[in-house]
Amino acid sequence: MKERFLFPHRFRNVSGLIFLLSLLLLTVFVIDSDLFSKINPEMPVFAIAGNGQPVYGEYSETIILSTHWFKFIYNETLDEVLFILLIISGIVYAFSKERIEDEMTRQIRLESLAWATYFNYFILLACYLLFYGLPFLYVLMIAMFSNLLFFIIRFRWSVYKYNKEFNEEQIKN
Amino acid sequence: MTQAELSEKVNVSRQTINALELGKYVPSTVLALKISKVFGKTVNEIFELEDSD
Repeated sequence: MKERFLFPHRFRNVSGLIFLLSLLLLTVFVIDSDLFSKINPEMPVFAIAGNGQPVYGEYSETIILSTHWFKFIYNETLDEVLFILLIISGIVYAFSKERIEDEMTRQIRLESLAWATYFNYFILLACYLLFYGLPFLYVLMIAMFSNLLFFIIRFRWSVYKYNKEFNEEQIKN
Repeated sequence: MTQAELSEKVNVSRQTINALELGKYVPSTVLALKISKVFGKTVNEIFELEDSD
Protein backbone atom coordinates (compact mmCIF):
# COMPACT_ATOMS: atom_id res chain seq x y z
CA MET A 1 0.00 0.00 0.00
CA LYS A 2 1.19 3.52 -0.75
CA GLU A 3 2.03 5.91 2.04
CA ARG A 4 0.25 9.13 1.33
CA PHE A 5 0.69 12.45 3.08
CA LEU A 6 3.80 11.35 5.00
CA PHE A 7 7.32 12.80 4.97
CA PRO A 8 10.46 10.65 4.68
CA HIS A 9 11.81 9.19 7.90
CA ARG A 10 15.11 11.09 7.61
CA PHE A 11 13.27 14.39 8.25
CA ARG A 12 11.98 13.21 11.61
CA ASN A 13 14.80 13.91 14.05
CA VAL A 14 15.87 17.24 12.61
CA SER A 15 12.29 18.57 12.45
CA GLY A 16 11.70 17.36 16.00
CA LEU A 17 14.73 19.32 17.17
CA ILE A 18 13.61 22.50 15.38
CA PHE A 19 10.10 22.07 16.78
CA LEU A 20 11.38 21.80 20.35
CA LEU A 21 13.79 24.72 19.94
CA SER A 22 11.21 27.05 18.42
CA LEU A 23 8.66 26.06 21.08
CA LEU A 24 11.22 26.86 23.77
CA LEU A 25 12.21 30.19 22.19
CA LEU A 26 8.58 31.16 21.66
CA THR A 27 7.80 30.44 25.32
CA VAL A 28 10.72 32.59 26.45
CA PHE A 29 9.66 35.27 23.97
CA VAL A 30 6.11 35.37 25.33
CA ILE A 31 7.32 35.52 28.93
CA ASP A 32 9.92 38.23 28.31
CA SER A 33 9.99 39.73 24.81
CA ASP A 34 12.64 42.29 25.76
CA LEU A 35 15.21 39.50 25.99
CA PHE A 36 15.21 39.18 22.20
CA SER A 37 14.91 42.88 21.37
CA LYS A 38 18.29 42.85 19.59
CA ILE A 39 17.27 40.11 17.17
CA ASN A 40 13.73 41.33 16.70
CA PRO A 41 13.95 43.73 13.76
CA GLU A 42 11.07 46.00 12.89
CA MET A 43 10.25 45.45 9.27
CA PRO A 44 7.66 46.73 6.84
CA VAL A 45 5.04 44.05 6.30
CA PHE A 46 1.88 43.93 4.27
CA ALA A 47 -1.14 43.62 6.54
CA ILE A 48 -4.68 42.74 5.57
CA ALA A 49 -5.47 44.23 8.95
CA GLY A 50 -3.07 45.37 11.63
CA ASN A 51 -2.13 47.88 14.28
CA GLY A 52 1.13 49.73 14.11
CA GLN A 53 2.94 52.57 12.42
CA PRO A 54 2.09 52.75 8.70
CA VAL A 55 5.07 52.70 6.33
CA TYR A 56 3.63 55.40 4.11
CA GLY A 57 2.21 58.36 5.99
CA GLU A 58 3.11 60.51 8.91
CA TYR A 59 4.32 59.23 12.22
CA SER A 60 1.71 59.62 14.89
CA GLU A 61 1.32 58.39 18.44
CA THR A 62 -2.41 57.91 18.14
CA ILE A 63 -2.45 56.24 14.72
CA ILE A 64 -0.62 53.18 16.13
CA LEU A 65 -3.76 52.00 17.87
CA SER A 66 -6.09 52.28 14.91
CA THR A 67 -6.45 49.35 12.58
CA HIS A 68 -4.96 49.68 9.12
CA TRP A 69 -6.56 47.73 6.30
CA PHE A 70 -4.56 46.47 3.31
CA LYS A 71 -1.55 48.63 4.11
CA PHE A 72 2.16 48.26 4.69
CA ILE A 73 2.93 48.73 8.38
CA TYR A 74 5.98 48.26 10.58
CA ASN A 75 5.99 45.11 12.65
CA GLU A 76 8.44 43.24 14.87
CA THR A 77 8.99 40.00 13.03
CA LEU A 78 10.64 37.56 15.44
CA ASP A 79 7.36 36.03 16.61
CA GLU A 80 6.27 35.48 12.99
CA VAL A 81 9.54 33.72 12.21
CA LEU A 82 9.29 31.54 15.31
CA PHE A 83 5.66 30.64 14.59
CA ILE A 84 6.41 29.68 10.99
CA LEU A 85 9.31 27.51 12.19
CA LEU A 86 7.15 25.95 14.88
CA ILE A 87 4.23 25.08 12.61
CA ILE A 88 6.29 23.77 9.68
CA SER A 89 8.68 21.70 11.81
CA GLY A 90 5.75 20.46 13.89
CA ILE A 91 3.85 19.30 10.81
CA VAL A 92 6.92 17.57 9.37
CA TYR A 93 7.80 15.93 12.70
CA ALA A 94 4.23 14.78 13.35
CA PHE A 95 3.84 13.30 9.88
CA SER A 96 7.27 11.81 9.22
CA LYS A 97 7.36 8.09 8.57
CA GLU A 98 8.53 5.77 11.31
CA ARG A 99 11.66 3.71 10.65
CA ILE A 100 9.37 0.89 9.59
CA GLU A 101 6.08 2.42 8.57
CA ASP A 102 3.41 -0.25 8.33
CA GLU A 103 -0.32 -0.61 8.81
CA MET A 104 -0.09 -0.73 12.59
CA THR A 105 1.75 2.60 12.81
CA ARG A 106 -0.88 3.94 10.44
CA GLN A 107 -3.60 2.83 12.82
CA ILE A 108 -1.78 4.24 15.85
CA ARG A 109 -1.37 7.52 13.98
CA LEU A 110 -5.05 7.71 13.10
CA GLU A 111 -6.16 6.90 16.65
CA SER A 112 -3.75 9.46 18.09
CA LEU A 113 -5.01 12.11 15.69
CA ALA A 114 -8.62 11.50 16.69
CA TRP A 115 -7.70 11.48 20.38
CA ALA A 116 -5.68 14.70 20.06
CA THR A 117 -8.54 16.47 18.29
CA TYR A 118 -11.06 15.52 20.98
CA PHE A 119 -8.63 16.42 23.76
CA ASN A 120 -7.66 19.72 22.14
CA TYR A 121 -11.25 20.92 21.81
CA PHE A 122 -12.10 19.74 25.30
CA ILE A 123 -9.24 21.85 26.67
CA LEU A 124 -10.23 24.77 24.43
CA LEU A 125 -13.82 24.67 25.70
CA ALA A 126 -12.57 24.65 29.27
CA CYS A 127 -10.26 27.60 28.52
CA TYR A 128 -13.14 29.48 26.91
CA LEU A 129 -14.91 29.39 30.25
CA LEU A 130 -11.82 30.12 32.34
CA PHE A 131 -9.97 32.89 30.47
CA TYR A 132 -11.43 36.32 29.75
CA GLY A 133 -10.18 39.54 28.21
CA LEU A 134 -6.56 39.96 27.18
CA PRO A 135 -5.27 36.74 28.84
CA PHE A 136 -7.52 34.90 26.38
CA LEU A 137 -4.99 35.95 23.69
CA TYR A 138 -2.54 33.47 25.25
CA VAL A 139 -5.14 30.74 24.83
CA LEU A 140 -5.56 31.67 21.16
CA MET A 141 -1.80 31.65 20.67
CA ILE A 142 -1.41 28.18 22.15
CA ALA A 143 -4.48 26.96 20.27
CA MET A 144 -2.62 27.66 17.01
CA PHE A 145 -0.42 24.60 17.57
CA SER A 146 -1.91 22.69 20.51
CA ASN A 147 -3.65 20.09 18.34
CA LEU A 148 -0.32 19.27 16.72
CA LEU A 149 1.44 19.17 20.07
CA PHE A 150 -1.15 16.86 21.68
CA PHE A 151 -1.01 14.60 18.62
CA ILE A 152 2.78 14.38 18.75
CA ILE A 153 2.81 13.56 22.46
CA ARG A 154 0.06 10.98 22.16
CA PHE A 155 1.50 9.32 19.05
CA ARG A 156 5.04 9.10 20.43
CA TRP A 157 3.72 7.74 23.71
CA SER A 158 1.67 5.05 21.92
CA VAL A 159 4.62 3.99 19.78
CA TYR A 160 6.83 3.91 22.88
CA LYS A 161 4.25 1.73 24.64
CA TYR A 162 4.12 -0.75 21.76
CA ASN A 163 7.92 -0.91 21.62
CA LYS A 164 8.13 -1.46 25.36
CA GLU A 165 5.60 -4.30 25.25
CA PHE A 166 7.54 -5.78 22.35
CA ASN A 167 10.85 -5.62 24.23
CA GLU A 168 9.35 -7.18 27.34
CA GLU A 169 7.96 -9.98 25.19
CA GLN A 170 11.41 -10.54 23.64
CA ILE A 171 13.04 -10.86 27.05
CA LYS A 172 10.38 -13.36 28.16
CA ASN A 173 10.97 -15.63 25.17
CA MET B 1 10.29 -19.17 11.56
CA THR B 2 11.06 -16.27 13.87
CA GLN B 3 9.00 -13.12 14.24
CA ALA B 4 11.84 -11.20 12.60
CA GLU B 5 11.87 -13.45 9.53
CA LEU B 6 8.11 -13.27 9.12
CA SER B 7 8.08 -9.51 9.56
CA GLU B 8 10.68 -9.13 6.82
CA LYS B 9 8.76 -11.37 4.44
CA VAL B 10 5.52 -9.43 4.80
CA ASN B 11 7.11 -5.98 5.11
CA VAL B 12 5.94 -4.92 8.57
CA SER B 13 7.79 -4.23 11.81
CA ARG B 14 8.53 -6.96 14.34
CA GLN B 15 6.35 -5.04 16.77
CA THR B 16 3.38 -5.55 14.47
CA ILE B 17 3.92 -9.32 14.26
CA ASN B 18 4.27 -9.42 18.03
CA ALA B 19 1.06 -7.42 18.54
CA LEU B 20 -0.68 -9.78 16.09
CA GLU B 21 0.38 -12.83 18.07
CA LEU B 22 -0.73 -11.25 21.32
CA GLY B 23 -4.13 -10.50 19.79
CA LYS B 24 -3.62 -6.76 20.26
CA TYR B 25 -3.73 -5.91 16.60
CA VAL B 26 -6.08 -7.12 13.90
CA PRO B 27 -4.34 -7.24 10.50
CA SER B 28 -5.75 -5.81 7.30
CA THR B 29 -6.97 -8.23 4.66
CA VAL B 30 -3.84 -7.56 2.62
CA LEU B 31 -1.52 -8.40 5.52
CA ALA B 32 -3.54 -11.50 6.44
CA LEU B 33 -3.30 -12.71 2.82
CA LYS B 34 0.46 -12.03 2.75
CA ILE B 35 0.98 -14.03 5.94
CA SER B 36 -1.12 -16.89 4.61
CA LYS B 37 1.01 -16.91 1.45
CA VAL B 38 4.21 -17.17 3.50
CA PHE B 39 2.87 -20.18 5.41
CA GLY B 40 1.20 -21.71 2.35
CA LYS B 41 -2.13 -21.95 4.15
CA THR B 42 -5.47 -20.27 3.74
CA VAL B 43 -6.31 -17.23 5.86
CA ASN B 44 -8.98 -19.24 7.69
CA GLU B 45 -6.42 -21.74 8.87
CA ILE B 46 -4.33 -19.00 10.49
CA PHE B 47 -6.91 -16.49 11.71
CA GLU B 48 -10.31 -17.01 13.23
CA LEU B 49 -13.12 -14.85 14.56
CA GLU B 50 -13.29 -14.28 18.28
CA ASP B 51 -16.46 -14.26 20.32
CA SER B 52 -16.33 -10.48 20.59
CA ASP B 53 -16.10 -9.95 16.81
